[in-house]
Amino acid sequence: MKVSSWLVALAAFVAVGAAADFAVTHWAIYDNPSGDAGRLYHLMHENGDEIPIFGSSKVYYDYVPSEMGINSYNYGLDGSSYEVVDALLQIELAKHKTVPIIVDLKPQGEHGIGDPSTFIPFVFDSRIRTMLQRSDSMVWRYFIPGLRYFGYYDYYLKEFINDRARLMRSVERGFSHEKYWTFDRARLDDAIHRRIQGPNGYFPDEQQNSRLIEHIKQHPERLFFVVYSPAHAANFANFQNLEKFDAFKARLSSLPNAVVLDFERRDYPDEWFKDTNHLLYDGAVDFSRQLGLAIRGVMKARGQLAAVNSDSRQMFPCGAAAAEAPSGAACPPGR
Amino acid sequence: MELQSARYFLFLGVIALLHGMLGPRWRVPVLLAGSLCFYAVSGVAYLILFLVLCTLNYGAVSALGDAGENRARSLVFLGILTLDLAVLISFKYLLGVIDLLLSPTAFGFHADPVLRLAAPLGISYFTFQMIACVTDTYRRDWAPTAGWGRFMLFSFFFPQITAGPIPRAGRLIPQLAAGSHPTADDFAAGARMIAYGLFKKFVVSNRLNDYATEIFATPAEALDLHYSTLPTLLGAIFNVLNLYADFSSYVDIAIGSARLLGIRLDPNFDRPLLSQSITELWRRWHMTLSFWLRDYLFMPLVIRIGDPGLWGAVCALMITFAICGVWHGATWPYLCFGLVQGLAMSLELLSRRWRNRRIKQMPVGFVNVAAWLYAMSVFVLSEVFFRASSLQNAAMVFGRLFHFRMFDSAAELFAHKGPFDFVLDVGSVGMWFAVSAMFRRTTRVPTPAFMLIVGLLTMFFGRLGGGRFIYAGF
Repeated sequence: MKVSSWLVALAAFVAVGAAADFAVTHWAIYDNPSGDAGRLYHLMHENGDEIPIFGSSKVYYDYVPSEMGINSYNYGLDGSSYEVVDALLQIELAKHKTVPIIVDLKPQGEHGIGDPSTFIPFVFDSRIRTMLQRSDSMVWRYFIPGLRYFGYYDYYLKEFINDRARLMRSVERGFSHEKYWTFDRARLDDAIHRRIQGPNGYFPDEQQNSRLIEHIKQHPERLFFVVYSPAHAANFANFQNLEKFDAFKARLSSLPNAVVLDFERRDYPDEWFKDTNHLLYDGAVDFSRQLGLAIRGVMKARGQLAAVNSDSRQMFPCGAAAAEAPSGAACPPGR
Repeated sequence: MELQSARYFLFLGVIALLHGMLGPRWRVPVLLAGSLCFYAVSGVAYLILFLVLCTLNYGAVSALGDAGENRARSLVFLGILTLDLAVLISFKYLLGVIDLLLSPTAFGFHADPVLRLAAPLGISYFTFQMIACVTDTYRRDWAPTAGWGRFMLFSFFFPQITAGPIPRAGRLIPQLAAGSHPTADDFAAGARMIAYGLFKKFVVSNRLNDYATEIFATPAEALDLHYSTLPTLLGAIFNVLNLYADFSSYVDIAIGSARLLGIRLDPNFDRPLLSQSITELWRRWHMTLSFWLRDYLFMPLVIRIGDPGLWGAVCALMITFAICGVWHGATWPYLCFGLVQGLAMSLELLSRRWRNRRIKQMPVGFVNVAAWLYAMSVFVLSEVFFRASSLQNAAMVFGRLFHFRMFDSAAELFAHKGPFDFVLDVGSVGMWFAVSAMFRRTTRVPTPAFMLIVGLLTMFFGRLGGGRFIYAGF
């Protein structure tokens, strides 16, 4: 057995691994604005006037920035909880920006982070690393180029192909329009059945609530829109702790730079729901338009809409609400 | 400590380094200390239990080896056999019954989590190993020569204690006694096997598991997606490939690890999916368990039944495979799995003469293909029971299989995961064929080149989240 042949094999492995790491990081992740990691990269490098929308898959599938009439960007991450939102908020709040922030909250205090592959390219950022450590998702190999994407190479490639070919979805300003999602009565009924049987209600993680309130208090220059997006009526069967839920919303509303917009019980037809938590495209468009109107209404009342508008043309309403815009400017192109 | 984890390979590296650096005197103590540490990670209480059990077995083996033919010898043999079986049955079945009785659905109260004991790591394999050792000594097929330390190492040898291969004392203990020293060839062969095992686990098993899980999911576990015949058939085939890839990957890592230490464990698979009958398949699938069942259950049963003819063998086969099924777990699907194997082998046995007469009149190629199709069909269908969580779940899968509606949409064929994942799932089977061919061609594909190719394939196409090895649960 020649030692030299083993060394050559090892060197080749390291070289190919490093090259693959570089290619995936720069092309399949950074240059893929529709992938989750690509959107996170966008957040880290965006320093303009985009209003970020943070939350879970409810944000990802329900918020259509192009329909909201404001310059916003969807950072919703499938399977994530406030733990992720908190890390993203820290990244956003470290910027010298004054535009509002939209946070979609669930009544339940959850702790999932979704797919770790979203965060692997950014583990050198202490905020991301802390979040991964807190959820026991930090793995030593995330620091080793080449090896860090083990188990996810195909995922990044799939997202990249999807972005370029728009096979399964088209993503615009972070919002994912799933091409093959259609209304399925049987699946929705199944989901409703499960939802009704499960525990429904306000089950907060008080520590998470405190962290959010602390962010709001520490950044009076940012207006926080805390939004509860539409959910199917099945979610409110036997809803527990309603008084506590109302009390929390009232507590948030009492903060001078926080506005609670509760769309949860909006009476949408079943045909607009994919399941009890997520809207299909038609529902998402309607909700986004309504939310956009509400946000602009609040900002107008506070005199911030004009102020921000005068600062940046990006803040002009656009898309569906363009008719109401002072200038009728279109949304900036982008995905 | 999972055999595919980085922690295990760090541990293996340290043990292999110490084993190679220290002199022959220290090799058994190093391996024994390592094996005990490996076991202690799964629970110190169980380690103590197994140490006591192992010591009692060692005492019995010593007594059986020394004693002449008398009644006391038989009593020692029966006593230790009863003890080994009692421990196995207690942990594998009685705790399950207690758990069931204390479950919320039984009497309306929740079981204390403390009472929810998991079976000790490798309980089945440890017991089989002890029974084989004690029986071989009783039959005077093997004369105990090892001291307590080597016997202990034989019992706890870390690469194989989780899920086999089940070693025979006559083959493993002499290697330990010789103070195994790995050669360069051992190192190369061991590394090659480990790389191949990791490839099968991460690239093949984990991928196919995702597809099969989706197809076998009950409405209670996931959204009821109503699969048609073709995706269900594909799911059933992927289930078998997943099981084979998963178990053989564990065995490859175990054999490869032992080889790095200069120890050769018995092989457990001999390309079983090329078999042309169920009988042949069980000679090539989980071989150490098959041979164990043959030597310590089937043959004694044939003798007990007292009918040396075909029907005696059929009875013994059915009982052996019913026990084999229930060994996997005390559930109806596992029992059905075992009974189907026993039934198929019995029919093959009973029809042997008739088949031989017929086969002579047919072209060889046709016979081979037909026999292979038969064996694989029976095996794929019987493995539905193996994976099914209940008889209802198995009935659901069979219902979809024999619904004879090919498929409604491409999305359904892709198990609702998209074409990209489906292509990679099917592609992983193709890669497996190619890597398997390379694995055997040691001269044409030298080990460093093999490791490089397989390492890169595993890194780029490997999938995480497949969980622990399937057979580690038995």
